[in-house]
Amino acid sequence: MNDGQISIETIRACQYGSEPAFDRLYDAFGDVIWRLCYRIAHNSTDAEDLAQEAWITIWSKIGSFRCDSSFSTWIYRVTTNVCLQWKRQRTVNSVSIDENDGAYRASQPERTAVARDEAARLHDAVKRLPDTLRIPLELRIYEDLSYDQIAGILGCTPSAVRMRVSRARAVLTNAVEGVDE
Amino acid sequence: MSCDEYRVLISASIDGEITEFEAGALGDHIRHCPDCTGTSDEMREHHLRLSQDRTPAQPAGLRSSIRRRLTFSTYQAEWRCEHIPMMPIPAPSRRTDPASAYIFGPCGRA
Repeated sequence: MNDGQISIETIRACQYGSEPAFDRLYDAFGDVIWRLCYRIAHNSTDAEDLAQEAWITIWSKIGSFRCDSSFSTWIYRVTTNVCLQWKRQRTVNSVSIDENDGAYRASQPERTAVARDEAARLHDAVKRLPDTLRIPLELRIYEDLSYDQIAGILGCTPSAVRMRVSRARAVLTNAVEGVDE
Repeated sequence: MSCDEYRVLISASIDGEITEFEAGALGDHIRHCPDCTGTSDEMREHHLRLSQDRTPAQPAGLRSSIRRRLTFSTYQAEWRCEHIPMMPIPAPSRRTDPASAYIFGPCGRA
């Protein structure tokens, strides 16, 4: 994680509202927060709104962070909670344009139609995973976090993370094969 | 152990979150179980495929948009932990108790 990129002095300065410290914080975590938001929103427009909400929440709550624990875990936890709250608030019938699928297909022109179909099913299956399975899987795959780190973010045990990631992979395997759960 | 339990180990092994003992048991099982061999191959392929996904870069103006919505202090100097001001200890209004006079003595001076 990114603990090494941000000093305790910078965190303290952020807690006192320092603008230069905000820039250092953004340099360290801007991309991480953007990725988390994009993985939830699946399109740039919503992800931009979501990232703004995440940063406002981080800035308003940073004063409550105690410097004796992992700051990156705290950042991931706050952002994940903002993302989940945003998702809950969305209307059930809203439709989002998924740019990621298009970008993926465009980046794989040499793939066969069968492989493209399988890849599309895989990405679709990831999006349809329940949050309890999808979030630990995505934190593992896209953020390269350990089970211990994910457990710290989600407030569960590493063995629970292990089970959830395994369960997510089993669901994806069945979905790509066309087996109903 | 059942195949379902070994599939948990397959997933953990993909993530490098498996003990040496578990890896040995999993290797022994996979050699004799075509179903778990297939599951292992599929899970690894899916992991590889998903890990190659790239999130689009964040919009150029995002940081500026966020900055406009945040409130910053006017103090621009570099804050350090030791520079955070200490709250003053209020002086007792009346010192009738000798013990409190001992504790708060220096603060109670005029």
